[in-house]
Amino acid sequence: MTEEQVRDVLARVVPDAPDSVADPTPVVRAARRQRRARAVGVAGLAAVLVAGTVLGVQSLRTDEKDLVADPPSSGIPDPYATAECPPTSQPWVSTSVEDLDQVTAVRYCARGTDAGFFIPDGPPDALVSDLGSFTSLVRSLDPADPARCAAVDVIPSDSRLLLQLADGTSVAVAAGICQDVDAEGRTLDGNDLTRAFLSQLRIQRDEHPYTSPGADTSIDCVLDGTVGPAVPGHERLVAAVLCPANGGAVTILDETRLSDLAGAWAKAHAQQEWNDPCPSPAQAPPYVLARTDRGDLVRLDVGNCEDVFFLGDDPAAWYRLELTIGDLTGG
Amino acid sequence: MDRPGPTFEEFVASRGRDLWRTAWLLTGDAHKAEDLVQTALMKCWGRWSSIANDGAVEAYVRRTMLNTYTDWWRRKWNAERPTETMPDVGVVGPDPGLRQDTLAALAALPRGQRAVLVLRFYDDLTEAQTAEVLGISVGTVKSQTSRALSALRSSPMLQEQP
Repeated sequence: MTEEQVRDVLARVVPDAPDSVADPTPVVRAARRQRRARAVGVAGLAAVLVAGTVLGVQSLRTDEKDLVADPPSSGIPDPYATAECPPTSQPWVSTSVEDLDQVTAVRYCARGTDAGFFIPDGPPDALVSDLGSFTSLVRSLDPADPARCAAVDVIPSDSRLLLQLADGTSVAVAAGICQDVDAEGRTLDGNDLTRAFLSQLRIQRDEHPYTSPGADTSIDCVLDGTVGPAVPGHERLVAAVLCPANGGAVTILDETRLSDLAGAWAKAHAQQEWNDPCPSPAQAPPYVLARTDRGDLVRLDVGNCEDVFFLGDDPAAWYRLELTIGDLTGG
Repeated sequence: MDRPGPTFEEFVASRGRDLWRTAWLLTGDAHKAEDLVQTALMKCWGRWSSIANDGAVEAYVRRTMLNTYTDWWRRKWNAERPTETMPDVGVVGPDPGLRQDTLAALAALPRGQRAVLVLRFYDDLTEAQTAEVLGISVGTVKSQTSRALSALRSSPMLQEQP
């Protein structure tokens, strides 16, 4: 069968399209309905968060029970329960994925190295929707650049991206910078793959207003490396602690200060240029670890001028919050 | 000054039927094809101003539809399984036997090959355009096309075609 014969057969067998597909009215109507439903979902979410913030603080002050929030929306598989990470006692084995079209979910599994000096944390939800866009993004990535990696020192990490496949099995591929991933025969940089995952997770979160069903409000200052799509104005802060830079007592932010921090976080905008004119302080300042309504752990740092800022996943953007560390410590 | 892109309504009115025909070849089912087109269009509706100004409306919508098609297949609740026969054709027209045989031959192809075949030989996209829509390399388009044609040549359903 020649190419021309294929063209001919396909043209002959395709039926006439129904008139309904050339009528934009039902599509526009359905899209508007969907938008209204999402708006209602977000409004409901906001109400839950107001209650959730209070609940979260109360639980921190009492027995640190889990915060109860909205269950995931029903339109997609539960992103918190899909493609669970294996126990850390189980060593990773696979480093390649043969067919990206088989991927049905993606989860970031954070693991430190045996050296133990860097303990990472990752987003608690898996990518479970629009895997086609993720696949396209990965296939469009440039191949890994060995020359660049030969010139940089990399913080060791054993974190992986767990790819759940259509047959129920899964493979774990490297997630860190200058770690090779074999994807359909191409060698990619694990960090590029992680960025593709995070950008798609950002879109998933914006399109589906789910929140962590059991957001853990307990925060351990041992955790220091956070990876996730959370950014001001999208996720909401539901709990936070002040972590001293060099050990010492951890301070749980009370309801008022948490509210101040959450408000400043919600209003912060991305900025492209770093501006920190004050001299370095004699003592390293504390930093803030906060939990979001999606379950992320985010780290906020303190600049030389005592302002609080956040560096997100995008290294080109940072966010300065409209408050100082003094507003959180009472100093 | 650049000519403004089509409005959403203009685009659906002029291109909806073509999108449906492509979707029909991908899914083999009239109702699924309509669902696929409408879902893809709904995804584009909210971003229409930026899509229309980009100057590549058709490519964007088509890519969204192909991504949606791939995504549906991955979803367990879609309940689609590889089969030798395609679902209900759902339409009438000339030569129903050829239509059924063609759909059966397409159904036997892996989804990637089926998509490449439809875009290359029904939508008449170039290899580069097909690669762009599917987010794969031109080399992959070539190899997938070759495998798909080889499979069709050996398909008993289509061997009697002129």
